[in-house]
Amino acid sequence: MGQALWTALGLIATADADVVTAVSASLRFALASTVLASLLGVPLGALLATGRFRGRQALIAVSNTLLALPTVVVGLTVYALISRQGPAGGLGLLFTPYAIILGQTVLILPITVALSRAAVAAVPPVFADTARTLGAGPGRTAWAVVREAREGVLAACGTAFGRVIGEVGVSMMLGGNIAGYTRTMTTVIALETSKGAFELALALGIVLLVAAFGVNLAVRAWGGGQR
Amino acid sequence: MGRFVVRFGWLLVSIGVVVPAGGAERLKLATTTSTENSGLLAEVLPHFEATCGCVVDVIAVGTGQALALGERGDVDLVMVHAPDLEQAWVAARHGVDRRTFMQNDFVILGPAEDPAGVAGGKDGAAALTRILERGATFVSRGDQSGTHHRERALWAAAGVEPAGDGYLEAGQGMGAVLVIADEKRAYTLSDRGTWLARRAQLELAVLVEGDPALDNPYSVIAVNPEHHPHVKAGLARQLMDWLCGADAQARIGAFRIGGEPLFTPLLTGGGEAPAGE
Repeated sequence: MGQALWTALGLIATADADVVTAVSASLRFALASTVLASLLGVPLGALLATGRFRGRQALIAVSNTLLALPTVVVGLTVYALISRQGPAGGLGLLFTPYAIILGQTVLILPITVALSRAAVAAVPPVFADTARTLGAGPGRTAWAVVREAREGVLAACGTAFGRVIGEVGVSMMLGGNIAGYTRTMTTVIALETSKGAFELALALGIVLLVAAFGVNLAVRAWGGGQR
Repeated sequence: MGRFVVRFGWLLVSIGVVVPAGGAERLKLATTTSTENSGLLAEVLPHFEATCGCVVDVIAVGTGQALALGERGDVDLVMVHAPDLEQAWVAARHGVDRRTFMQNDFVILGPAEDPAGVAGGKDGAAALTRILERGATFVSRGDQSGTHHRERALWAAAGVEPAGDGYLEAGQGMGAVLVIADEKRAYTLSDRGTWLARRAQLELAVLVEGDPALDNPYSVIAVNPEHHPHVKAGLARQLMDWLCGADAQARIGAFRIGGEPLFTPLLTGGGEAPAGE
């Protein structure tokens, strides 16, 4: 294993082409799906936190439950949807990067919804009342509350990114692990491990952790809200 | 608020950048792990891509799953190794224009000390029976792959239904099963290509080979364009023609790992001697 570790570090140091393309693919897909899931999930979460409508409790329970979605189940469901025999088969999305991004977005949407709901719900109601008193409409009021909760909301997005960059089930099933196209860090790790070649798998495991660390730092800096 | 929106907008734009733009036409080929993991396709296919100006997307799964993907129209052609399944698939009109273009063979591997005493045998079915009778362990792929299918055929030929503590169904790819067999000092059935590619890390040995029932021919079959009008039938045919042509056949014959040929081209007069001799 020590030997494998040295070889792994060598692959990273020399920016091995397989390592670079897989890292790039993973980061691109994870970034895209995190942004999509955030754009959809944060407003939904805010709505669940501040809205007063029937079925709200049920929706909160559903979003919390879906946090436990296994990646393979997401992969299978989206597969059934976009396979040529499926309702969206005509788009020809299966085994393309779009399929991975779609599946990953579905996978982490519950995270962005549930965690941003919790963050927004933690803002004292008096905050929204004040905004309203100052003449803000419902949209501006909701936005002000989300901004007040931005640390928690960004943490939600960061958590979603962490989940998605490390997942293998969706990428493998929907992307097909096509070299140079839909092959990501995690699918290479799975493939190389299955081949019994641990060096590249280990190298990518290290890169994956470093990348996740870097993104977490960036999110914290971006939020600007370390208190 | 403005700053936030600008930042999100910037990220949205980046999504446009993250997905590779469509350019060259893409052909989807579902194949088995043995052709992909051995490195054969990575060696041979770029030469086809250069001539056709297209990109071949290789989706490496087991033979069973490859045929299922073709049946659903999710790929344009398949490259598989289970002749009777292929014939049934073509008979059911899922695929057309089946061409057998190369082969290697299966080998029965086991620990060099060979507790079941099958070394040197020429009869695959008899060897498998003996492994379980002697209380040794056999690791099966158990994943509906072409190799698993062949193993089932050998058990059927022996008239034995494998069961018991000595019969392990791994449900994993060939490389992983070789590692399991190695760790457990067990026997297994492998295609020769994967074995040659992996043997440097293994203590297993080839114990039984040369049985005609262990021949392992590979075929390409186009997905039936009548069932799935969207498939790229023309491009699929172009790839099949190319694989059966002199250039690709020579490249397949010349492909080696550790000095040993992995596959024997079937459609050229010369080249390597048939596997198993």
